[in-house]
Amino acid sequence: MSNTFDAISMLSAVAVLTGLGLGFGALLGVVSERFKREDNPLVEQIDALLPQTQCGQCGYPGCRPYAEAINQGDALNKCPPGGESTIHALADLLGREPEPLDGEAQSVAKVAFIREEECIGCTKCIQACPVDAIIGAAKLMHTVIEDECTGCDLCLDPCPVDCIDMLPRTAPLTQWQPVTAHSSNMIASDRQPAPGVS
Amino acid sequence: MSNAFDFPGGIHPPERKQRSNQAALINAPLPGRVTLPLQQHSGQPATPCVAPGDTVKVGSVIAKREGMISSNLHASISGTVSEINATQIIIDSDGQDEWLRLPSLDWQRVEPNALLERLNESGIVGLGGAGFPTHIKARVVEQHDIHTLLINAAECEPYITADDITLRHYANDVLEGAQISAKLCGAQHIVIGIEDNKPEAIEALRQAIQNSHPITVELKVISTRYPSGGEHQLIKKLLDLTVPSGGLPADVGVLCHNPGTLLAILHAVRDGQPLVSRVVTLTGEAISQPGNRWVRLGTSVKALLEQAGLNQPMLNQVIQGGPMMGAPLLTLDTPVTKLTNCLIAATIVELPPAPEESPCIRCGECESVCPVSLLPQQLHWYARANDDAKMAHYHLFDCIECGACSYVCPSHIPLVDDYREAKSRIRLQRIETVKAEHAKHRFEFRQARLAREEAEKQARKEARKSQQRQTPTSAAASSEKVDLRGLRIAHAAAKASVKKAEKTLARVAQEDPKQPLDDLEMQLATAQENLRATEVQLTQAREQQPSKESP
Amino acid sequence: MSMMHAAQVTSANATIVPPTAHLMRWVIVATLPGIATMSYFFGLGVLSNVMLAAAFGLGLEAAILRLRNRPVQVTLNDSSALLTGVLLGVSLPPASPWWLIGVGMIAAIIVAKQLYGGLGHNPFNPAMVGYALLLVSFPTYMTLWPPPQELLPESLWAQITGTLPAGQLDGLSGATPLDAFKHKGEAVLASEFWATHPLPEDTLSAWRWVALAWLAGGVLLLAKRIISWHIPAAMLGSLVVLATLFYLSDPSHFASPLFHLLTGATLFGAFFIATDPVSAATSRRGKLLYGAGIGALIIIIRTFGGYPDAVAFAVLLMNLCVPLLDLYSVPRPTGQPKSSRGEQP
Repeated sequence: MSNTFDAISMLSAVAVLTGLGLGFGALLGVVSERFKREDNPLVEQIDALLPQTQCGQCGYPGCRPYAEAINQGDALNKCPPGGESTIHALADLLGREPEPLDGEAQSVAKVAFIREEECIGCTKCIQACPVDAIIGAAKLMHTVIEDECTGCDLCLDPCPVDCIDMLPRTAPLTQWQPVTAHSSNMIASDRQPAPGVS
Repeated sequence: MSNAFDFPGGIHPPERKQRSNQAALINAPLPGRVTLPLQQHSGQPATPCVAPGDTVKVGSVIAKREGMISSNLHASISGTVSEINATQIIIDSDGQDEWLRLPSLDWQRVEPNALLERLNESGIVGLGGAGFPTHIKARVVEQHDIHTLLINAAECEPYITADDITLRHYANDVLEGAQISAKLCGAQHIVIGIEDNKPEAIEALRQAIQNSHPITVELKVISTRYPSGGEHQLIKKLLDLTVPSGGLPADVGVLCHNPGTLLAILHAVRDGQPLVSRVVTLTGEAISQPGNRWVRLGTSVKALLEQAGLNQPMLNQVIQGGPMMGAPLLTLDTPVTKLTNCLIAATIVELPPAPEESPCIRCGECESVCPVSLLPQQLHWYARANDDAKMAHYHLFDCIECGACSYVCPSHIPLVDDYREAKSRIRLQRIETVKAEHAKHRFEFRQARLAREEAEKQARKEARKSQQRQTPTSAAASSEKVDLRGLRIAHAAAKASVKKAEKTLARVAQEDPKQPLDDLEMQLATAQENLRATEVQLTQAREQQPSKESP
Repeated sequence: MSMMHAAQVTSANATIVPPTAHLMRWVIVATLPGIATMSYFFGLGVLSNVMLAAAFGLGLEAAILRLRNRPVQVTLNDSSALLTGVLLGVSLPPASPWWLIGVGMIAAIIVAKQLYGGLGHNPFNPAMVGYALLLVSFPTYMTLWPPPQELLPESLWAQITGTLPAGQLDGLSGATPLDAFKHKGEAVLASEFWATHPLPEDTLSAWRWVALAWLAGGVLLLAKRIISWHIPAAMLGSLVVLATLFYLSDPSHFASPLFHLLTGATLFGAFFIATDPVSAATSRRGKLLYGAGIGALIIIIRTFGGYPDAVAFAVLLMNLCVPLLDLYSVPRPTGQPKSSRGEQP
């Protein structure tokens, strides 16, 4: 008698738990279908935050491979063209601690410039350019398409006559960037001396 | 009178218009030298078409419009071009003031296209402050149905009286200019909005509307409140139409013009006189003869103020534009341009420097005066925290920068400065993002091209190898095991991505033909390169393993 | 740059746009009728409370500003610490021990205000944080009010020595009307409570006069446009509506709306505490919701909660809700499509 009872109660417990499991499983399934986010996979999102100079200073051949490496757990601080702001954006996205930049940050946007009278037309820089921003042909003078150049420096090393300079990029007047910066009034700024306090 | 509709918020700063609206409108003395910047309008700067040493007359074209949104520039005095540099043209006067006019047009008879061409030639831009080329604005009918032409004579900023004085003297001419503009845009109504603090101008308009034809003009007097002269605010107040966020008045069928612009339109059409001079309000406590002047473009601000009796020791700063939205001049050695509607030579008592800013106490004053119903203090917090996502949530880009919030802030926080800074920062970031995206696509295209070339090279090599061998053995094939299945999947995926890229390109091109399609075309080319690479690899693999290929 | 000129026009017309300090000083001025009335009924202990709390406020603020490396003089000039002192001072029983006031002000100025970043950054109303801390930590000192016209010298001496006047500890005579009503016991019907008169009639009328004095101060603030009508109106409105509902459902158990309105800190809270802009919601809709929430919480806590008065707790609880209210009460800017209201970033 008691055995039967035990069996029934055990069966009912199993049935209830199975039912609950199925029910919640179905619910989760429905919800995940219903509220599916059409987001990019993580690598895409990381890639979107990188500056796309394709410079390779991170040790990977381009921004996309570095994005994949970050997704695999590589450090966030290997992108000098992106600077601190990129590190912070990545840290925000991935929920990791921002680390100080590995290397020197670029202070101004640069663009490659070929001193055309010195160019011997070796096409080495054309092969090095990751974004096809250099035009020219063998034995003919090469030149850089300024709008397409990302300032990655990759053309400097291959040039046998060192006729490429990195010049600061000229910004049009319409791209006005204000220089004022407000001192924050938060507690974090307490250690900075305030005006009027010796 | 017509206060049935209203925009939210608004303030009543002291008007201080009496100082400049008492004197009659006179001509400023002819300048001995003018400096004409190549960009006195929104859009692209004009390109010079004269050389140093050339002789020019008043009205000679000295720089031509460049690109879609741009405007011609004319000599404002007769004389010799003495210098041309990247930003401006300088002309020395010969003292003759000889004019070069275009033939007069009878606007009621000629084709609209002839009128448009005249506006284009005459270099007319919006004289209210934005400087949008008028001939481009007139072509808005190509995309929108315009039912009402609105003359914006509200002039709500303190100090400025240029429109007031223009209307007192030229009410008939302004209305005739409005009729021309209405003909061009096909509007059936003309409405004038004017604040009730300009009784003389209102009276002049009352007289003038009686003999204005063919379209009857409706005069609407509104109570004085800043910023009722904002385009969107005036449209709301007079017509009860709401211009959508980020949109133009044309989206609700309205075209807005400033009285000065309409007068310039008439002068260009009836008299063949290009835009070489404008009415400028000279005011402020630091000059002894305030008032409005007809000023030739390019006249030095310093000379103009000195002729008006500038008291140099009293002068604290000169503001170009009104005290709410204008900007202080860093140097007086700067010319009057098409956009200079007012010069305030202020003493330190009149417009003292802003007191030290104190913390925001969230009092909500700014919110109650915002004419766009924004939450300025929330924007302030997020602007200082550089939180761009939150600022978008609070609609930063709907801010019209009228300055009402800064004006009422008890903590004296320069709110609008913060917003302008945040806006320019966000705009710059957007440009950077687009650039990075573009670079990425070029990189991907290059990678795809290299992969295709590599695959083709490989295929040629294999083909040579197999020819040399003559008899390919099955052992050799199996030693170079090729992942046929993987290649087929890659091939199918590449095909799909080409189709997808083609579809996106077609859709975007259909939706917005004006948008640049370079990036999408490059993505398509990348997909095609990938497809060709996989095709080459696949055919090569099939040739190697003919026996294993399933039917 | 240019907007500096707007501010410049502003400062040339200080009557139109008073600086922050001006607002704070007007609020202090508006508390004067209330303080005067309270002093008249409850003795000069009220005044000494206020002065002591204000002195603590200024001293503590100066000390912590120095520690935080901030300009002391400029910040003290905004009078916000002074105002916090005044508001806490009038909330305490007359002639409270000096250390009680000190502890309250430390909680208000240092914990609630400066640790969050100072004026404009505090999420909670500082005076109410101080009051709530004292109420939960020292309930005996906080709930016993002397009957009106208590003798002066004795209570002041008690304040200086930091002890509780012996005479106050016994019986109901020291309780506020709300306290008495709260502790009348379940068995006692409201009608019996009023009939047996456990409170002297002058205690009740004293509280009424004080409430009316706060109302007068509030009207002054409204007339000077120092505060907007939204929060007080919503708060008093929801309080009266809820109290009326309860009262109509069972007049024998629940107090009348008028009793709720005119005793305790209701009117004081409506005009001087809930309207503190820093810790209140910012948009107009948000302010209405915020005020209504306070009114409802006051009635709920007074009726079902463990404390006789509830203004401090109601305000603090609604302070907690302010970020949420702000997020969901973003007004629709002109020209935005209807659906964009409250849209998530």
